[in-house]
Amino acid sequence: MTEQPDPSADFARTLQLASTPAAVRTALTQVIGMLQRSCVSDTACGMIELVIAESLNNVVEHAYRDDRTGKISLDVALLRGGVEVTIRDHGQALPDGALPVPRKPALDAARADLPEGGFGWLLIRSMTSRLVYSRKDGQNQLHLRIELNRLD
Amino acid sequence: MTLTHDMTEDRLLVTAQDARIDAAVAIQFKDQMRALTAHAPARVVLDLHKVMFIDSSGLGAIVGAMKQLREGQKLELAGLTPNVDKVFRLTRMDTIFTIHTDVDAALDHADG
Repeated sequence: MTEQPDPSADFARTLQLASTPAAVRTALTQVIGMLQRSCVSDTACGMIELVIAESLNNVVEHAYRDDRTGKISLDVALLRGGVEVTIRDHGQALPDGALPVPRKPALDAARADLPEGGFGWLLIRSMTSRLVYSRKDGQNQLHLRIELNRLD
Repeated sequence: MTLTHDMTEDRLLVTAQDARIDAAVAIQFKDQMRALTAHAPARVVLDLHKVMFIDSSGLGAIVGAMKQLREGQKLELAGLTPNVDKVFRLTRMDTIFTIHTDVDAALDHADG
């Protein structure tokens, strides 16, 4: 089912992409281009790109388990001073059907035990004012909001 | 994923030539770093001034590159651009690495 973009938004776009790192890069370039044309600052664009990249990477690597034939839909809207993002996929559900509980990476470990992963949700949470996960009829939906005036 | 390098008997300087170290190239980055650092001196400096974007995969690959070093080898970073610096700060990985403003500062800074 295709969702219609919200007509009251400053702008809204829906992109469809395959679940590959190259497609994620292309989608990010398109989204950032749109935001820049709407005069979103470079600083803000950098952080928005990171949040969307982390969210899409999670779908590619975990929802679709690197299956390159998966499909992802990405809605981006500039709305009331923030960027609203909705990502939908038909991959595996989040473990326990919920967003992971925030936990601090163990940085006081010995070098050989330092974490190489697990930073994605930390980065997403640190830059979003709203983060909601839901699943229905085999489809994951992640909705998040980034406030443009809190990104310095 | 292109890494250029310059090695003296005192240090290996690796310069990342790509604008992005992300999920698309993280594994290549880590593999190339392993090859470059395997026969390098104790001091390895990674110049990131051309890198405009890293995600958590890129950060993980940089941490992974450090973990691949032999005992006594050390990886230092130089030239973090604002978005890259922010990722290190938000994750507090800036406490794990010695970070120099730029390569000149790094190479002037010779550990005694």
